[in-house]
Amino acid sequence: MDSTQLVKGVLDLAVLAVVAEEDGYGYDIVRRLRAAGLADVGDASVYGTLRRLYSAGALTSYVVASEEGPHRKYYGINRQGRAMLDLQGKTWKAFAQAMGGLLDTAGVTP
Amino acid sequence: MRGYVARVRVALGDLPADDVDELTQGMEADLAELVAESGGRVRDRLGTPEAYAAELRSAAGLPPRVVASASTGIGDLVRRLRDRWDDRVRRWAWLADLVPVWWVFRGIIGAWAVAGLLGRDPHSWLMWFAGAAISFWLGRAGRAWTGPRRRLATTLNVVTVLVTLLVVVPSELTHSGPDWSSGEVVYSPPTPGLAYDGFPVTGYFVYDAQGRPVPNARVFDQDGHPLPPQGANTNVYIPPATIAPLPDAPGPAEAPSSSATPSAMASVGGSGATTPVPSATTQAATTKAS
Repeated sequence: MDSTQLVKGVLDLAVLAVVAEEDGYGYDIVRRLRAAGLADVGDASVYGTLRRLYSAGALTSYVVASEEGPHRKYYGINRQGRAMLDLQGKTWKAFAQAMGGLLDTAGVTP
Repeated sequence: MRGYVARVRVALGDLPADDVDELTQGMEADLAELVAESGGRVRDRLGTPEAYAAELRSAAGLPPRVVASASTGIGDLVRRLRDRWDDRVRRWAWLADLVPVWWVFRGIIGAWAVAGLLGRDPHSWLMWFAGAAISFWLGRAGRAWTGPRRRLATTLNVVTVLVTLLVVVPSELTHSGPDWSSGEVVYSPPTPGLAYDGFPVTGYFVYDAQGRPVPNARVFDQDGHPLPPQGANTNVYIPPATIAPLPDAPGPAEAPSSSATPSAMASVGGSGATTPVPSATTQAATTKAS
């Protein structure tokens, strides 16, 4: 199964989880997602997701000026974002558990 | 890399300016880091700017690109100008500081033009101050504008620049001719009949290259119409009494045949030979000789 499609479905949750850990700018978040094992995550998808979550009120955003280069845009999580992360995280865990059980029964090993 | 960001912005161009700004803010810094880290070209890593923009939109939950139809020639041009401007402002921070100066200038130009159109003196300090104040207020309010209103503002700014360059500057530099800045726009009715620089021409004289008058010459204008149309007052050659030479005999065609014709006599007289000549000429000749 193409993991790109899977990532798309849970990108909101993944981004929320990464930002909840620590504020970050777009590329930093892409990097952390990849380091966490989501190798197929697309740069533009992450930026778009950040923008959408921000519009939905789940993230805060601030621009950090830099002396030598262009400005950086940082994202941080807020209360609404945390609530979203909590709720979606629980849903995901239940789903993953169900899938795990199903696959265990079928005898699939990682 | 800047080119890449610019193309992404173009591909997002049908979205409201605020959305485009939101989506591309900080993009340059991030791309710089990406390039530094991966060592490759931006495009190898991210694909074409258009594909990148499409992925960005879909992930951001924005509608896919509206193709061309919505953007007419002028609208597209204005949008591109605005994007370029936004780009510049982002790069050169001092440009943003100059923007209020532009507002004031824009207001003065506006006051100048309005006063000129109303037939008032365009150099009125009061008008200028009012114009500058209104423009400044609009500029501040306009910062929050988006979409069509922002496009309108951009269009008006462009118009101001054009008016400045094409109307105000020439008019202020040269005070000749019909001039807005005089406050009186004079529409003089066209002079009837033949005219030159607005003054009636009651007669004209045609001479050939040797300075000899050409009797019954016909003159045509640029459209091939004979001048003057009514043919009344100019067709007649009236020799100026003292300055121009006396009219010569018509032409050599009929000259040598018979010495009896008046024209032949006139011709001989003109050449100043044997036949009787007016005494005045003789006198002149003798005076000259002595």
